[in-house]
Amino acid sequence: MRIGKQWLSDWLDSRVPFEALAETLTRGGFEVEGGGTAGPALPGVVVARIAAAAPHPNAERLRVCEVEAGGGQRRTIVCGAPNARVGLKAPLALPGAVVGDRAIAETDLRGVRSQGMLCSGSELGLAATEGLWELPTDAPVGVALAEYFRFADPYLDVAVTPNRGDCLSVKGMAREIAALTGGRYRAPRARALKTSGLTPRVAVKDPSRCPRYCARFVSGLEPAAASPGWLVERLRLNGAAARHAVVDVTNYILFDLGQPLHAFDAALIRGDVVVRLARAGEEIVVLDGSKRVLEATDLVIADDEGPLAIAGVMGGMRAAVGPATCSVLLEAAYFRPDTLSQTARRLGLATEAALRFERGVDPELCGLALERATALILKIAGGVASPAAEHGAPDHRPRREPIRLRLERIRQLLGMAVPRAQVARLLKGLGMTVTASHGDLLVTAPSFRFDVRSEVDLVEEIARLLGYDEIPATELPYAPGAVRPALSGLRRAADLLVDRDYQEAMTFSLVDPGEQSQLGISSRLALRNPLAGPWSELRTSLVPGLLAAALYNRRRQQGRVRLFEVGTCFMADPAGTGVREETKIAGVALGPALPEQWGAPARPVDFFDVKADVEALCALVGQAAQASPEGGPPFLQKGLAAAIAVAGGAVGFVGGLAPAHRERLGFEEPVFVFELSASALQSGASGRAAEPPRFPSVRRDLAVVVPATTPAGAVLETVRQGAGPLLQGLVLFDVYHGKGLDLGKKSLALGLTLQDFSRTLTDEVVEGLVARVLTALATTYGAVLRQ
Amino acid sequence: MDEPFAERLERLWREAEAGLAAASDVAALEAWRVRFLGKSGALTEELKRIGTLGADERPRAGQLVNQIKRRLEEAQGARRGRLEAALQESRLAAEAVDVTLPGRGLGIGGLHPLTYALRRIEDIFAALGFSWAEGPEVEDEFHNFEALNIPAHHPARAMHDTFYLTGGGLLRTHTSTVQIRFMEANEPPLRIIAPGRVYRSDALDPTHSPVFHQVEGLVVAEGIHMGHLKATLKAFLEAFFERPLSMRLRPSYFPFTEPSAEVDIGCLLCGGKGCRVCKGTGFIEVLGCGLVHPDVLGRIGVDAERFTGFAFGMGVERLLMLKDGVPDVRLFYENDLRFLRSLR
Repeated sequence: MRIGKQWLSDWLDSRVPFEALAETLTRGGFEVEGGGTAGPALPGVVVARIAAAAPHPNAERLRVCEVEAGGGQRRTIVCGAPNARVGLKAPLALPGAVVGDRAIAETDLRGVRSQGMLCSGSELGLAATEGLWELPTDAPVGVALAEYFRFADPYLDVAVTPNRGDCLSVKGMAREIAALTGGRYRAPRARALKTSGLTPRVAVKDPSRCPRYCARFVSGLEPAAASPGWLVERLRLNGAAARHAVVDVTNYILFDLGQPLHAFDAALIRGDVVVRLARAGEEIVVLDGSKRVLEATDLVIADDEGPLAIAGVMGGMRAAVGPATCSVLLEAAYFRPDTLSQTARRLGLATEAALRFERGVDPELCGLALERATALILKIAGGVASPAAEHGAPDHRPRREPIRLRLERIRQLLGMAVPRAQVARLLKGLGMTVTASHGDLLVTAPSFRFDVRSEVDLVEEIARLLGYDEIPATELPYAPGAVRPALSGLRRAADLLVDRDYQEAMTFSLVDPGEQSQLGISSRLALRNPLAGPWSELRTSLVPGLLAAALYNRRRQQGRVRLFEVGTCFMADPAGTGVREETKIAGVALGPALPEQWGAPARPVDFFDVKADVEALCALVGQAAQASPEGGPPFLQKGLAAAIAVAGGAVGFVGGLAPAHRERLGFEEPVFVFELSASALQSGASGRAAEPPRFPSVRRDLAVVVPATTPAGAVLETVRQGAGPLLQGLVLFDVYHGKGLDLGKKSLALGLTLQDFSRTLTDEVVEGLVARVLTALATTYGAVLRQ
Repeated sequence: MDEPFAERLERLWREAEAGLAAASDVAALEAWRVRFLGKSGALTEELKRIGTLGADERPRAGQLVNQIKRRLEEAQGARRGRLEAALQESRLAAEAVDVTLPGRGLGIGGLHPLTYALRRIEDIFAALGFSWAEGPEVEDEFHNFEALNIPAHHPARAMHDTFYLTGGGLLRTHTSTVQIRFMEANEPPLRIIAPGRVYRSDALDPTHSPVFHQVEGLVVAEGIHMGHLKATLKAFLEAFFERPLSMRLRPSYFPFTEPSAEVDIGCLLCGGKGCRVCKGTGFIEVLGCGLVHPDVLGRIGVDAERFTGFAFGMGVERLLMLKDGVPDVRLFYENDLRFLRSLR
């Protein structure tokens, strides 16, 4: 909301210079987002009147105008605007003026000397007009345009929070500034109008949604009457263009008093005016030209033929005020905020009127606004005002109940005591009535303060007026914080991956549903109202985001990319809210296994590099990662994919991205990914200490030949089972195919570390154990000891 | 003709000394030892010969041989030590490397800048006695809005451009939801922070992201007031930005706090004189806060007469952009390694 200095002074004798108000308003809860002067200085641009206009002798589209621009003499201006006509007042840039980036000079245009340039609004950067800017008729010829429009007047751009609808007007801001600074606010008074003729017939069918409705006819208007310059300029300050004088006045009253008004062309209304709920499916073409379908909860202003306007939101085209309008029905009403807000939001019509109604417009304001608007219309466009119809139900208006305010509560919430007299004075300054009651205060807020409902609201008002700076800072008393095992588990996992040369990434939890579906991991958790762009489905996995991030880097000359992410993934779940959230930890690696270096041969990262990272993550919580060739996600390459289980429970996967996906996405080299459920990495620390054994261990190495297709993991498991509890360590230290072995066979070299915690192992026990292991291997896999 | 014993020993001594000086490595030294001091070496032979001497000569001769033997053994020991040291040195010289060559193996990765910031925030608040809580990112209307005094059609809903799921539910627009969830499950006194991702249907641009991170704070206990809020936030902000700061609370509006405030700090770039970053005001907005609205407490069964509290919420991206001069919020989610590695 823009507040001009001149305009503000209509309502306020300020004690604070305008320039200092930004600070005052900010500390009072109104953020000042900017400011400036109302318009540019525009030296050399003056108000001119076209006194004569004739066709250009040498150019069909140009006209030669004789223009009055002060100083008693006429100037000849060549002009191409179609609206250049005798009597029109328009801005004239004299030679020497600068318009946009054009320096104006006397020039010959097709053989006629032109002594300046008549301007459009857009050429001056001020108004989006086609052709010459048609200035108000009251504009004095020869006066500088900036002076006429008071462009030097400073303004502030003030942000008003949604609870302070009462400040969405110059009058409201003036009242607030007076309370904040102690200046004098001049409350508006209506002057008695002379009225005659018929009172409009209005029926309010839904008084709960429209507790007050005032309307009157103003007829006999001069259709061509134009708004005066000061009004046009005040509208422009708030981004509204001048149109018909009546519409301009309603817009002006909205900014000035905060009461949205609406004017209907009275000649186009059929029968009586009715305020009622719409019928479901009823249609209306509104002023922006669009056709809207209404629902049974929308309030409309209607006549015999149907809706004329969506109440408090936007008027309809059917009875819109136009160039030929010479009588209007002028409406000032109070609509209930919730209904109106629902309608405006559903239809996407965030109009200035709706903005105010949904925040609450003072129900006491209708009459005054109607009187002031009428007086202004009569002044500008002439005509006669009818008596006003007033309908509504006072019972449905917001109630103002007295609120009990305890001085002790102020101290309790603000941490400082405020004397009773000061509290009373501050609240009275806001227009509240304050009385004493049993040691407390009873406070009644004025009708425009929709936000003051309870004691705590009053406490805030006191804090705000005193200034938050006055509240003394107090340290919190000591309280022990709790330990955070879940958090530390994830921190440790992230640190481990950092230590293993992964860089952490963060990708959107919203992903491209097409990509998830391509990868075969669609979540089916789609947004109902996505943004433009690919982010319209919740991720089930961190992998799509990491692949995109890896690709982004790969395309920027990064040959070796190792990224990981810890984040929430989402899965549809028939139970509960329909969504299950799970924190996962995932990584992607491509390019060389090691950074480029002299000391190690270059080789691409492979399955076992990444599997080691997964094993290390599981080892953090003392668990072995069990890999199985079955059960991995569909986007991994068959044979290069493993499902990972910990203690028998599935926790994730590791593997190479399938070539089809690599190609589709544009990766030129193998890409490995892993993902684990973070819950698998958050188990607590182990319970008991293990004493180191006091007896020596025995190591036995066995090389066994098994069919090449036998999974090593299964062989190791058989060894573990066969060896029993004496087996304290098992390492697979070589895998061999080729010379010396039959085709289809491989040799696995196993190192067994055996340990008895209560005695030294004898050869007899060891040989017996090895024999058992070999028998088990022979029976299960046909394994033989390699000679 | 036998050479006299004494002369022979004299010659042997000289011979041995010359041989020792000539032994240039451990092997030659060993050969020398065998020749002179070995089991059938020259001195041993001389000792054997003592028996052939007259009884009066024997003691002196024995003494002499033993004396020579001792001396030669000492000389040999010293020589051996020198030779072995030289050998060791040459071996070590052969093992020497160019220590200026880079080391071998993996490099080191790094955490995401936002993770560093989140950890920092969590650690600062942990030191101030705050515990940690979390809540779901897919929420319901109650926890995201209604419990926080934002009923349907409340104008404040326009401040939260909300993403809704087709199957029902919405993506939380703020971490204030965790206030409610935590108070549903725990009785005061409470002192928590709740970090997490939040969602707004804002188009991605240099200062807006549809996905971003917030940290919510909540303190509810007897006797908590606005002064505690001020001191806590000042302590946090000074620790986070690692410098003394001027801080002001400015009245604002959030439906779930009353009184509500925006917190501004003195501009980090110009120190309050006014610049481009603070738009000439000398202050930059860093977070929103207030006393928990009694209706919020009452709705979930907390006695709002007995317990009071404060809450605050901050955007992590924004704080980090201010602290480390990150010019564009999109950088956090593009994951360009060159950016990620620049902030540690």
